[in-house]
Amino acid sequence: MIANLSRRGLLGGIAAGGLVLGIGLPAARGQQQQRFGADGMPNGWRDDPRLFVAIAEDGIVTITCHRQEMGQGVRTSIPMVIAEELEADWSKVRVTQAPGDEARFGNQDTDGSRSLRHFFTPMRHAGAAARTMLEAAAAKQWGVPAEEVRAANHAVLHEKSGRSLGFGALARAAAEMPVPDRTTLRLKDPASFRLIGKDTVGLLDNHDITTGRAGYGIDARVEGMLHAVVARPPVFGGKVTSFDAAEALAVPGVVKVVAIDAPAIPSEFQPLGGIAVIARNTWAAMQGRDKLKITWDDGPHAVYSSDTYRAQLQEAARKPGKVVRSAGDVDRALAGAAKRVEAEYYIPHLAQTPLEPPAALVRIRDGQCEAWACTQAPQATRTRLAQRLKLPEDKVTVHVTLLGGGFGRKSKPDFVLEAGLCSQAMDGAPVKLTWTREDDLHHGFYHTVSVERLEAGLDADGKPVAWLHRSVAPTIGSIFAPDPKHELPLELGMGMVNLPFPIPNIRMENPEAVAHARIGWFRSVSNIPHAFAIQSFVAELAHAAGRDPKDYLLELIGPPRLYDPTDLGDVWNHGEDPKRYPIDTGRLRRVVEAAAEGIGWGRAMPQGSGLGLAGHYSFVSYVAAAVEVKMGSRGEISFPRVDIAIDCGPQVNPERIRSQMEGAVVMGTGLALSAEVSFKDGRVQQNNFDAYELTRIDSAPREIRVHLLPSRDYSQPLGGVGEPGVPPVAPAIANAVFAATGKRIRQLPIRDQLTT
Amino acid sequence: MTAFRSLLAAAALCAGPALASPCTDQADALDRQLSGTADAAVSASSGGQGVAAARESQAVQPPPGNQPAPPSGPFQSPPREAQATQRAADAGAAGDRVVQAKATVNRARELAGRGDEAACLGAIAEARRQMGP
Repeated sequence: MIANLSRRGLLGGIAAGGLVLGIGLPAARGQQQQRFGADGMPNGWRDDPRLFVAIAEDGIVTITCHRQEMGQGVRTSIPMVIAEELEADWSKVRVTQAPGDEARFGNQDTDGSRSLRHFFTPMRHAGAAARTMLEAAAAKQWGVPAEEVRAANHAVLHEKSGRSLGFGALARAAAEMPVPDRTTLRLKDPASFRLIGKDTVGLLDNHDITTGRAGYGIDARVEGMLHAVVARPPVFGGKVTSFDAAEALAVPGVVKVVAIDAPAIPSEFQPLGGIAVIARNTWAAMQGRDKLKITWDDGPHAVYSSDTYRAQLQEAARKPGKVVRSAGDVDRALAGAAKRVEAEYYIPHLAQTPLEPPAALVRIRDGQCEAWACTQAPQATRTRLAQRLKLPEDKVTVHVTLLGGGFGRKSKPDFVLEAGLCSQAMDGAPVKLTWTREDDLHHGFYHTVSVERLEAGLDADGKPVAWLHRSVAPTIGSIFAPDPKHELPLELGMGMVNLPFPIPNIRMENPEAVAHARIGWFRSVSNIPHAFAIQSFVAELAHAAGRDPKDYLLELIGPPRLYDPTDLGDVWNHGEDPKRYPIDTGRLRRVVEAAAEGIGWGRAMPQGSGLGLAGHYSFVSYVAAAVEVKMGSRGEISFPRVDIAIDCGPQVNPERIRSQMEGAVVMGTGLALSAEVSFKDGRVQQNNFDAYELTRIDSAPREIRVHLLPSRDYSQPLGGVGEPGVPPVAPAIANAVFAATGKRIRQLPIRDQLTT
Repeated sequence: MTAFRSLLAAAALCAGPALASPCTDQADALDRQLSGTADAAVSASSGGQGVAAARESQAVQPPPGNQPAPPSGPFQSPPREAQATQRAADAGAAGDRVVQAKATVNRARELAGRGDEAACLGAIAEARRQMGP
C-alpha cells in the first residue's frame, strides 16, 4: 500500500520510535545560474537529504519519493539512487510518497520521461549527504577524524579500531550534524555500485500490485464519503442549456445534483462542465446520471467529423505551409531527380486509456481541503484546486496514490477539480468522483490527429537528394492559447525538424490545422506520427531504390557525428542543453544495428512472413524496433517476435528499462493495429474497449527481446525511458507487413486493411 | 563546430563566389544571432511537454500585440511563471520565429549560391522580419 508523507506523520514517527533524520525546509541554494533540464523546470530541484531521507532508531530507512508511480518504477528507481549513495541495505529501505508540494521537493510534474534524467544527480547528492552526516556522527562519537570512517552496508565502520555502528544507532546524532555542502560531497565510484545499473532490485510495489493491496486513486476511501459522476457536454466546448434533475433525484441513493460551469476557452486543465450527480454509492450516481434530462448547446465544434477533417488535413498537406526548416533548394532538386517518391500518412486521434480511469476523492473541513488522486502533476493539481475552490494554496493538500497508468492523461487535474467542486457543493463532505471508461473515451485530452506528407527525389543510385515533409496536426497549444493553427516548437522538435539525415536539400513545412477537440499529450506525443511517417517513408524509398531497408536506413543516418539540435531547427530539445545533449547519429546507428542483429535481419523468411525495422530519437534517447510479422490465411497479423534496442545513456534500473520497452512494444502494437478515436458531429464514436481496442494477449507479440546498449559512464547525461520505446514500433510493424505482403500501410490503425 | 555546421560550410564552399558576398556575410551574422536565440528558446521551455506546451503556446501570440498570453494556470508562483513565459516570448516566440528565420536564412544562402544577390538580400530582410523586434 502506498504511504503518504505528512508532517504530522513524521512527527508522530519521531515520538513513537526516534525518527531522527527527518525533514527540514529546503535551503534555497544556487539553482538560478543554470538554465536547462531540471534547472528550467518550475520550482527546480532539491537535494537536501532532510527532505528525502529519514532513519529510525531501528535502522529502517524511509525514503520519500516525490515523483509519481504509474508503472514505470520511479518509486523503486529514485530510492535506489539515494540508497546507493547512502550505503543503505535495500532490505531495510521503505518508501513513502510525497504530497504535492514543489516548494519543498522541487518539480514533481511526472511527464516527459525525465524523473531520473533530472533527479539522478540531486538524489545521489541527497544520499551522499545523508551518508556523510552518519559518518560525521560516528567519527564524533569515536573521537576520530571523519576521514577514517566510512559507511558500508547500513553501518559506519572505523577500520583502525574495528568499531562499527549501525545506521539506527547513529540516526539521532546524525540529525544534529550540519548538512554538507554539495560541492564537498564524495560520490561513490560507479565501479562500486551495488544497486544502480544492476539487476538486483525488483519493482518495489510489485507484490502489492499483484496481490491487490496496492492503493490507486480509484481505491481511495474515507469514512462517510459520497460518490459522484458527471454528465459532461458530448461535444467539446458545449454547455448545458437547461436540465431537469427530478428523475435523477428520485433514484434511491442520489443525494444531490450539481451544475458545473463550462470553462472559458482555452480551457487548460479545467473541467468541461456539466451536471454532477452525487449519491451514496457509485452505482446510484450512475443510475441518476442516466435519468438526467439535459439540453445541450453543442457549440462550434459540433461540425467536427473525422472523415471530413481528414480530407481537410490532406488538402492542407498538399499545399505549401509555414516553413520550419530549409536547406538547399528542394524544388529544384525534386525537379531534377532521377526518381520521385511521395506518400501521405494518416495517424488518428488516440486516447491514453489508462486501465484505471481518472478518479479522485476530495474532502474539505475546517477550511482545509484534502485530495487523494492518481495525478501525475500534484502541484498543478494543488494550485488549480486552490484557485477553483477559492482557498489559499497552503490549505490544500494533494495526496498522491499509485496511478493505474497515466500516459499523460493524468497530468491534467480536471477530474480532481470536479471532485473538489462536488465536495464543496456538499459542504465539504468527502466525495469520490469516478470516471467510467466511457467518460474517459468521450471527454479526454486526445492525442492529436495528423496527416504527414513526404516527398523525396532520388538520384540515379537511389540516394535521396531532396526531402519535403509537411506535417499537419492540431496542436496541444490549443488548450493553452486561443485558436492556434500551427504545431508548437516542442511538437515539431519531436522527430520532425530534427531529422538527422544529411540530405542536401530539405524543406519541412507546417500548414495550418484548427483544433476541434481537446488535445493533450499522449505517451511519446508527436513522435508517434512523425516516426510512423518518416520511418515508413524511408522503407518506401529503399524499396523504390531496390535496396535492403536496413542498409538504406543506415546509409541515410550516415556515419557517426554530432548535431546541435538547434542547428536542425529543434528549439525545444526536451528542455535540455543542446551542447550537453547533441543528437548522436552513432548512437542511432547502433540501436538500429542491435535491433536488426537481434531479430536476425536478412534471414530467409517463409511466405507470408516478413521483417520490418525502424529507429527513432526521442526524449534524448535512441530506440530501434525490429518486428517479425506472420500473416494468417485471412490477413490476420501475428507477431512471433519483436526486438527492441535502446541507448538511454547510463542506466539506473535495467529491469525497469526492459519493462518499459516491453510495455512500449505492447502499446505500440495496439496503436498500430486497432486504436483510434474518431468523431462524428463533434462526438467521440468509441464507447469502450470493444471499439477502442488495446493490445490483447492474442494480438501481443509472442516474444519481446530488449537490448540495452551498455553505458557505464555515469558522468554522461541520462536519457528518457518511459516514452521513447513507443514511436518506432508502429512503423516497424508497417514495414514488416510490407515485407510479408507487399501492401504498404499508410494509415493507422491497420485494423481490417489486410483482412480478406 | 558541429558536423551539421561543417556540412553547411562545405555546401557554402561549393557555392564558390557567393561565399564572400555581403549577403552571405549578413546571413552568417544572422545565423549567429539566431543560434543564441535558439539556445534561449530551449532554456525558456522545459523538459516536460505540459509546461513547455503552456509556455510556448502563450509565447507564440500573433501580431499586432506579440505579447504573451497570461498564464492560464501557473505551474509555479504567478510572478515567476509570468517571467518564464515572457522569457519564452522574448526568445523568438519560444523559438517559433527562430525556426522560420533560420529556414529563410538558409534559403538566402541558396540564393546567394546561385549568384542572385538581390534575392538573397530580400530573404535576409524577410528573416529579420520573422525574427521580430
